[in-house]
Amino acid sequence: MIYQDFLQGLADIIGAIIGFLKPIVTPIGEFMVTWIEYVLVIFPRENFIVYIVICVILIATAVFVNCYWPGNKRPKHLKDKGMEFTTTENEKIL
Amino acid sequence: MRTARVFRWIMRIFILLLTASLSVVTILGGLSAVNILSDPNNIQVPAQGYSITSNVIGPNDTWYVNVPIGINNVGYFDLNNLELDFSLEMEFNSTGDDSIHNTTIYNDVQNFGNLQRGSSGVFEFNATSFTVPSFHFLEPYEFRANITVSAYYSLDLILFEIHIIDLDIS
Amino acid sequence: MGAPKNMVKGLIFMGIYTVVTIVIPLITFSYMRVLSIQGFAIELTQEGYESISFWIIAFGLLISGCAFFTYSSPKQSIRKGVFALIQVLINCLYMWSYKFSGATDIRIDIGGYGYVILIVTQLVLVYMGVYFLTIAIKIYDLVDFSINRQSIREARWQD
Repeated sequence: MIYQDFLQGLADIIGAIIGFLKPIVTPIGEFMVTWIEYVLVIFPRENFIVYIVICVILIATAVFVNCYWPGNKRPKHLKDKGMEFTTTENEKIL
Repeated sequence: MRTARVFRWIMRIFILLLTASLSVVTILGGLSAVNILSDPNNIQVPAQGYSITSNVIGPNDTWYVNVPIGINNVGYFDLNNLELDFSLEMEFNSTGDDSIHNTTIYNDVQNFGNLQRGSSGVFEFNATSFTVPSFHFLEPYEFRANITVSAYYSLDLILFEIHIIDLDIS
Repeated sequence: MGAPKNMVKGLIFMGIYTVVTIVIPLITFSYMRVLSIQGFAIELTQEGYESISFWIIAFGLLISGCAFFTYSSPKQSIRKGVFALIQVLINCLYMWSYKFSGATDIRIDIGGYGYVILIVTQLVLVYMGVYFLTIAIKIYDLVDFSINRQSIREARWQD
């Protein structure tokens, strides 16, 4: 019974939240559906090769980009100003 | 933390709240379905049998069909916009040979409004305006009903339709 | 974080997305084909099943690929922002493609009498609205990462 009451209470709270937000969110959802239906037309059906190729290209590009720009190099403007930090990581690199 | 990040976190919490709410609605909707469907007496279409009243089968007679639907809403949400679509087909022989004709003599929708959670109700569908062909029928004749009961559930997020096809009510 | 660590992180998330967007839905729909509720079978036609499977695998592959790119990118980098945005957009297509496959109309056959249909389009519309807000956040992130690029890089260097 307590369990049922809890679920009923939960349903009331969620009902209030959804009831308040639904009129705002649903029209936005309808707008989303409009553009999605246009975009979906250009996606090929019954041909997996295109999707596999795109997936492989994405992974290969990510590997390549990460090798060249791993994101742990010192920013150029800091180098120019000669700024240094004394963190352990930096000390190791320096 | 940068101010830009604080604003982002507020937005994320808002989205999380919405997503969690939708998940809870889905779960409670599923639990409601289990509650309702676990007892066959909770939905009775039609309930207590139907009645067709007609003295003599013919085009000028007064016809009357009554279809009661019994629903016991033991779920967590209200049942909204309950509608019953009733169509009645008649198979008959009007020529005396073996040919059987088929015609729709009634098709209409009635709205019964809402049924609050925890309550039960019997909704009566009454059909009176029939389109009967203008000739006399010979035996045998049969009536077949197509009944569709539809309603919104889970805060109007889910629409369910119960289709009963070719129900022999002769 | 160095390149190998980035890529390990990307691989882990790609695995998670592959399981969530391809493996679990495929298993669920395969299970649904033979599922019956209180003796009433849930009807999923062969055509419907093939259509659902196709979209799940197709968009699942794209989402997983994007996830690898997103999660292998440095924290708060512009490329992370761009691919996170692309990933959410593909996620929307993935979700709506269920509609085209008929998966948003769940049909339960009542043997001999008729059938019951559950139409969850309205629920999907609300989810789409939530996705819009997610897209807005991703665009916001992208603008934030671009405008505050220098300070982000400095902070990352300090970490």
